[in-house]
Amino acid sequence: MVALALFWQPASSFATLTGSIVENVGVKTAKLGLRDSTDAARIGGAYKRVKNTDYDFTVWEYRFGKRNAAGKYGLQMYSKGNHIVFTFVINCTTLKTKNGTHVGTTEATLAQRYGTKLHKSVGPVYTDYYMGTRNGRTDFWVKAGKVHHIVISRY
Amino acid sequence: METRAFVRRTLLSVLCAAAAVAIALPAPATAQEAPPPPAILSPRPSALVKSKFVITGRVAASVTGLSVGGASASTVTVLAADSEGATFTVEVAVTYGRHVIALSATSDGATWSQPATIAVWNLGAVKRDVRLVLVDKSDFMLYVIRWNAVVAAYPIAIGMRGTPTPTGTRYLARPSASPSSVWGPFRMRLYRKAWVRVAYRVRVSGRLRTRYRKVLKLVGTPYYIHGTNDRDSIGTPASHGCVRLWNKNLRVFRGLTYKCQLTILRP
Repeated sequence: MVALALFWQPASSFATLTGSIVENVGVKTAKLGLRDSTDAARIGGAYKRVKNTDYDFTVWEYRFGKRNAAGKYGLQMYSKGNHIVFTFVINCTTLKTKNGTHVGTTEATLAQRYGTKLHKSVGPVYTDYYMGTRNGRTDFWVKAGKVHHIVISRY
Repeated sequence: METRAFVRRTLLSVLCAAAAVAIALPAPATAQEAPPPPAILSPRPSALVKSKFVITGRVAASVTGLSVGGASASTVTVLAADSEGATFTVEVAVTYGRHVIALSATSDGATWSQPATIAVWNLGAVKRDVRLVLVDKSDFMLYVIRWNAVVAAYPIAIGMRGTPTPTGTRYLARPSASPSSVWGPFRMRLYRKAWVRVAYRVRVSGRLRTRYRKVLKLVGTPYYIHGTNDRDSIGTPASHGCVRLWNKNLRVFRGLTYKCQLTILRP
């Protein structure tokens, strides 16, 4: 992925992201399927916007929050050339679901909180606990017994 | 003195007699010696197998049965022994993925040999080819296949659900320099076969005319196999359609796959 254009949203310094994750829907009041500008405003705060045109399509990436040691941002939001949001990636611990699940929650707690709603898929590096449909799906990617990041997507 | 010598001689003779008796008597009953582990002749290690396949090999002549671990065995047959041993066949059923199958021999139902193990791969309906790279999106793995055996398997990152990695047959280009560290040390472009319209000129009635014909060519796609500077992304759908490897795996992968066909499976 190569950033061809980098836009800086002049705003206050990156504040800590807080709010709720709505499973299969979005973050705070931002939702999958809405325009990226609408969702960015609903999430609020400063963000970086990166455009990628290396492929047959254009992908916009919105980066909210601070960058961690692994080079990930607290919240990353993706939209295509039509500016419709199709993915949220949550890497920070301050955004939580209604039942309190967040990045860093243990695997046992996750399974206990969601029960049979979650399906399990074991991969070579991560274990994926997922729920929802293709119109709104939530993936809890678990590594070393803890939720590593959360992805809300549609496809 | 004579008494002491007598006692010494008597003790010595008693000890010798005891030793002679100990040698003459049979050894106390111990467990029967275990037979050597079975020798597996086919399939060969890391072979690509179907969901049901047969293991053949040789066991010692005293072996009458086999136990199978790591897979479900339907039929175990040990043929009549000759002077060098017996031939066996085991019908085995395996699920998708890598399996390590252990075979142990028994001669009387209680004496087990050390197990002989073999690792095999069941990757579903894969076209059996001499050289092939298989990207399996369902389990985030890339397999390098040579002569129907998996010689390397690496975890990968594939396209996100909104920007999926396309499936089908592709062809790997030579490695090219990476324009940015996000691609890792280098990248290898994927090509696909496509019918392309090509123009040519012919003279018709004294005048040059343009004609077209379709030729089958390799056409570049915007997708690559490349490294990454984001180690945590491997094992997840994280890219915009490319296949990412850890950089250390990419360097090994380059040496294995010159002029290889690449098949991307299972959306």
